Amino acid sequence: MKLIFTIFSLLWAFCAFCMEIQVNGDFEKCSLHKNEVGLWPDNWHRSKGSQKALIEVYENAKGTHSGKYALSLECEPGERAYIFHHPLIRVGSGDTPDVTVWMKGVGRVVTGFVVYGYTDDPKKFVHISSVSSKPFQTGGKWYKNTFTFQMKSREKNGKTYDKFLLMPFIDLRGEGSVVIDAYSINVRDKKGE
Amino acid sequence: MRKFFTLSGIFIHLTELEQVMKFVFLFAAVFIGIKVFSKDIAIVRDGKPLATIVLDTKPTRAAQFAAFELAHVIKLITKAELPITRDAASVRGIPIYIGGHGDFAPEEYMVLVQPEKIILSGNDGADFGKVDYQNWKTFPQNKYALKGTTYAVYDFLEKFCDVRFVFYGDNGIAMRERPTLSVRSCNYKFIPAMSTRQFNFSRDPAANVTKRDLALLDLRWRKNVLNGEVNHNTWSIYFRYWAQATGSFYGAKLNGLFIEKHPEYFAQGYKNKSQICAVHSKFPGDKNLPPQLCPSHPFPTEYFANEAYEVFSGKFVPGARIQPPRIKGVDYYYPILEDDNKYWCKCAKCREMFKNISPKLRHGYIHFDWINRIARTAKKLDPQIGIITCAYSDSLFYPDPGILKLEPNIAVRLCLAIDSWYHPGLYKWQHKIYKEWVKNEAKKRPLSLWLYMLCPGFEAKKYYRYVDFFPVLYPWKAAQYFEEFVNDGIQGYYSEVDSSSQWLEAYVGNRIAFEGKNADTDKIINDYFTMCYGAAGENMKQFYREMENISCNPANYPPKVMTNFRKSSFAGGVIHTEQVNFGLASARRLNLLQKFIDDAKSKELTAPERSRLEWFISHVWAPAVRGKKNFDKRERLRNVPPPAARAGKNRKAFGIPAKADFSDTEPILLEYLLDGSQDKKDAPKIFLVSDGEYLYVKYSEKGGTAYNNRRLSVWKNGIEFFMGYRQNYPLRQIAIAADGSMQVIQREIEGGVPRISPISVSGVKIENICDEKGWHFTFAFPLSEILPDKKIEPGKRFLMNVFRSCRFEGGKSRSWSISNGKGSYVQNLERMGKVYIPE
Repeated sequence: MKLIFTIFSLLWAFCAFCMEIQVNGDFEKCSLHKNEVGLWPDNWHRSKGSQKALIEVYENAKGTHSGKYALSLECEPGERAYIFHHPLIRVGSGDTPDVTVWMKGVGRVVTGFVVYGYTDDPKKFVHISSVSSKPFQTGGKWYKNTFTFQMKSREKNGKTYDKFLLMPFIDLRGEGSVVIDAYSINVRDKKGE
Repeated sequence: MRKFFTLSGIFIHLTELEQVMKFVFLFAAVFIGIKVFSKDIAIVRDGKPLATIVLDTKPTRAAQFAAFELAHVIKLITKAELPITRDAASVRGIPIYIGGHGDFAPEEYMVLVQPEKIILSGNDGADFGKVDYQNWKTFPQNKYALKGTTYAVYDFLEKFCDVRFVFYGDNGIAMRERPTLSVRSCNYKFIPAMSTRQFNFSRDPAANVTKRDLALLDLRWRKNVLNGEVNHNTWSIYFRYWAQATGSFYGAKLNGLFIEKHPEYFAQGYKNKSQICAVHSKFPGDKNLPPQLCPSHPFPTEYFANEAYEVFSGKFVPGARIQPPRIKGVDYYYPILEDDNKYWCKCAKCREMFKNISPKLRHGYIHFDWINRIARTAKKLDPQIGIITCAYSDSLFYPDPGILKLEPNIAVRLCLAIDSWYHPGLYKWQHKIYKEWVKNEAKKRPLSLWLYMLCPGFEAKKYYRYVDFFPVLYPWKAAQYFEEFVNDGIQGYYSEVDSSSQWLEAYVGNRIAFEGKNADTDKIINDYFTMCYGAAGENMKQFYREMENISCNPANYPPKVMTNFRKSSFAGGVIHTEQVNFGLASARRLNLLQKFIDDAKSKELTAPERSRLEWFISHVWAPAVRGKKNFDKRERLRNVPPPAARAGKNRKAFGIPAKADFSDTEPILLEYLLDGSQDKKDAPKIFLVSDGEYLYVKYSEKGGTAYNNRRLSVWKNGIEFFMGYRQNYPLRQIAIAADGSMQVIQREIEGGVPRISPISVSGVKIENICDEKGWHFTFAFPLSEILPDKKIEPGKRFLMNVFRSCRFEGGKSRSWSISNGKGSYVQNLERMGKVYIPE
């Protein structure tokens, strides 16, 4: 009984310190989208500035990192492939989101978050800033890349914000062709530091 | 205080207080009565003719024709037959003189109506050929013809007899039948505002329209061009300096025109692009026909300046597409416009031309620089020669005069997609360019317009092939655009019109182009509805208003569609995929529009009004309703993701089909019938493998279907592969017949227009067996040739759909990805599945 209690306590503690956010980062949940080539990953959206880029579900089962689907981004010179996740993710000051992503191909890819702050009502938020990784390593084989940063209280227009909404994005800038898979976000809170 | 007066000007019931004004009112009424009413002149009373149509003893063709038209229309109104005579002594009643009577400027005409005589006449030119009213070939021409007398008669019929020419044939003559026809006194001369008024209907809107009906409508709408006809036309040089051509071209046999081979006169840097050149069919088997000329070489400049001079001098130049005659009193412009493609010369000298200009604008400068040199050379041959060219797509923008100044003897036609000007981005871009041209050049040279009024019918019928469509109707916007063109001093227009849907827009535009600043556009539109549809006119006006509100409001389109556009003259394929088109047709909107139509149908109408309403319903509204219904059905069936397949990996097989090993590959099944149902049981199988250089394709079908129909063409009994990189053009199409013969076709867009061209691909081998047991073939196709616009590499994907065509009795055509088209395989490009090439 004591052992079970201990295991549950540790599990609870782990969950409290580090929580994976479900963002369909394995791109396995897809549905038909009228304006896209066939399937499109649920909860991910193409930015307005990326209309010319080829962004689509990679349906080559033998070519994914894991599972049936991955995500393919392809740009001609001067183009941009920028996709973002919605719904937004709630975090607080002191939390540390860790991003892990696997990618293959050639191109200059960055990931990050658009940060919005709110005080009481999360429906009333303001844009605070954007944070992004340095360009990730890509190549002919699968590479694991990570990106992390810590949320800190921010002041804007005379208000202090310590509650935030994050909008994750993946951004291929300029000419390139990459396949992305197993994108995940884990948020560590203060206790986990 | 009540007062009344009759039309004859006599007061009744006047009060004491008004006695002071009595004489003033009386005088005014009598004066008005004399001025307005006493000069009404009856030419038919109670069905009896009170006038005679009088022609000269030697009448012009235009006058003879105009006399027939006048008599015909007056008979439709009154049932009275006005006699036509050339003998002044035999005139009974008021003489209506047709033709003659004075000097006129080109296209000028006069209308004089007096109690003792009526004169309807204009500048007719010296064409005295005999007119047979039943034979359209004897009518005045619809271009290069001075026929002012016909304008005078049509003006008289419209303004004084309340006639409108709204459609083909007698049914298209909108008028009020009455036994007495009186006209007012008047005396005026007029010259049409635009001297070029050309419209080209994309197809006959009614199946039973005769060539005579078409010719009559051209004349009734005063179609004409005196100078300024221009189109792609730089091919005569091919027939003389590329190779011996075969067949004929615009009335000339090509055999014998060839002089000497001079490849340096033509665009350098292209091989296997013959299909791009518009005259490729004249050079069968020639794989390297250049798509363009070399503008930096001096000879083509001299050649076309000389061609302009020859045609100007009245000679017929075999192989020249457009040969405008000279017309007295009219400036002369010879047309020069390159072939309709963007494969410009890549020779070292051309690459040096305007090399500091951005690539998007560079060709425009090269184009106008070439036209400048031709214009200068032609002017040396005869100072009266001008050159007209188009500002079209790559050359639409106004060239910076600091870099290039146009020669004074150049006229320019701007090609604009007014059918899509509700697209905010396209409008802003094109309209800004248009205004720059007007601001800088309208007072220096003739500026005219090539106007597209084709979309969305073009997309529905030619581009995406969904056929029935929800129209974009915009008569008020068309009026607004044409008013602006007239006010800007635009010299003429040529429009390509989808005549199934844009009938009214074409009518309104043409009326304003003719009438110019005098045009009362609201009245033109209101009259059209009233006269065309009688008591249903108001309902039809409401219908059109609602349609314009719906279809010209950018908010009713997906934001993505309203932000992207192609920077070219024509907007074909830019907006109206079937999803976008039928996205306009919500149930609420359809119900509202249907109510207007139902209300119109319920009105009491004359037979011609009813006939015109029924034509509109059957040609415009019913296809929209039917199209939406079928689209919804197709969308339900398409609610299945397009398939994806991975080609197996093969060791190097060097393009030899027998060396391909398909044993470890999952087949793809042609499991969908074209009605959307699924049939896996008898589905033919396709296996795909690749060695990194070739794609090897194995097809397998059981049974004797292909063999039993082997004499049918590949389009009725064959396999068709459609392959592209995006869900759109360009596409590669490979068609294989039961006898193993293969056709490779390129489908691409040039200037917004789909082109279908056969091409040859070397190194393609096919092994074919077709007998009573089944049909099996294997072929190898170079990966580099699968797509027209992109090289497919290992690890990458292309999009494909495969169709087994069984267009014979009992046959069931089928596909890999469900398409549910109406028979055209390019209708469902978004249904193409993905094929991944192994790494």
